[in-house]
Amino acid sequence: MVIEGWGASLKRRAVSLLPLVSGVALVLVTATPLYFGHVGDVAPRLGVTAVIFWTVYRPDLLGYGSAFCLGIVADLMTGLPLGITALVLVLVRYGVITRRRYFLRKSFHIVWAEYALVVIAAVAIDWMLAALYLWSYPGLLVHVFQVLLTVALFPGVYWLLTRCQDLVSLAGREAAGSV
Amino acid sequence: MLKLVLLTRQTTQRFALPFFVVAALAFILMSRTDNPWVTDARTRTLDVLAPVIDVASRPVSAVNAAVDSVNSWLAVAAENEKLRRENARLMHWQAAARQLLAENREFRDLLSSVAEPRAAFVTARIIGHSSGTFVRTAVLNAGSRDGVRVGQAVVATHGLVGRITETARHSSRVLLLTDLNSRVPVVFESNRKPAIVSGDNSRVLSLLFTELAGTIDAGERLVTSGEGGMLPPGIPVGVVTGSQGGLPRVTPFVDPARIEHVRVLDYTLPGLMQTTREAGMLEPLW
Repeated sequence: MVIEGWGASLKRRAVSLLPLVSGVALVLVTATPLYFGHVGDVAPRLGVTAVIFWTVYRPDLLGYGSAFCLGIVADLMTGLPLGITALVLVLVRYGVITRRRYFLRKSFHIVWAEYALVVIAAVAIDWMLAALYLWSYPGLLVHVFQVLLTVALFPGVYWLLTRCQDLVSLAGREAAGSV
Repeated sequence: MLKLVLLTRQTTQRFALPFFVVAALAFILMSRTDNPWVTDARTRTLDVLAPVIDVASRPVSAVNAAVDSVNSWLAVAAENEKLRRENARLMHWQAAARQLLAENREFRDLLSSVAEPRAAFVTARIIGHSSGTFVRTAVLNAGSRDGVRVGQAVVATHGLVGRITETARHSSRVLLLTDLNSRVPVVFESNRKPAIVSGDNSRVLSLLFTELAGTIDAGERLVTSGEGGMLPPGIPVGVVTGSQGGLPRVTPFVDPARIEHVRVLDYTLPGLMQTTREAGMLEPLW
């Protein structure tokens, strides 16, 4: 039996942070200005994408605490009322973890359709929170475009996150081989 | 021991969801009551993340510059013709402006009128955007270190963008005109009647507290009134483009989603408070 060295242990721990880091990176992309007029008005909810992906494929690496922290970072970065995105992401994680079997071992198109449903639910929660927080009727159009943009970007983001997941799996296999 | 670990894990898992939901609701409540701790956390985070957002926005900015460059090459002949016509028109306006300037100077001298203080400025790049239902803000790569202070006006070439609401050391946040919490005192350019333009998180603004409601024609231009002493008077704000539910709607002159650089004006009426320019931090504008 070979004991895992501190270098390998550090690497494994660093890689296990990838879900949270990838989520923060996606939130950063969301906050980046596009300078393209109308497109710049609607930002996709890529933080939601990250939480859905990791909850389906590695729920052990992105728990409620990580989803909450990701939401807080997103709120602090985008100037939203603190806690709004955190609440949405925690509820998204709960919704996905209870429906996880509908995502696993399904074709990409089914996963995409399931993903779209969760995004619609997340944006609907966001809309209701906005109505309660602002005590007014927020326009629906921004939310509709937000859903469309987030769903349309899914294949690209899915590909990137799958590469991150490969790294996590590789690190896990290496660690298992060394013990 | 193993049993204890499993029990702890099960308990944590069971209570994680309600715990974090309650924590998020507590944070929302703190934000709603404008808790200073939330503002402090926000500015600290902005300072840490601003350089990262700045770097992340550079490729988009570079692509945008390249697209602009190609577009300008493709449209060079048409652009040239347009500029010729505009130049001829502006020459006419320049002559009129010179005459009015001389006349104005003469009248001011006759009336011993007090001159308006001139604003200094810092130029900053928009490195982050936040759009949606809750807020309409932008993040600038200039902060308190550069002389940016809360309340200062942010302008672009065509008019007012918003005003500074949070300043970190190296970055700051601008509340855009279209934000729900934005209120700017304005006057109609044609008759100097006062009003307030207010954002509602959409692309257009509402016109409030105007005695002219119902008689305003589309095409009326609005400029800042300078009331309150925080914004310089005469900055173009927007143009009346229609009405909704009896309220005139105003389209801002500046679309923040399309601009990259802005100027933060340091304008304070003399004697009210020390400006950053007086503190020797800014270069004069003109």
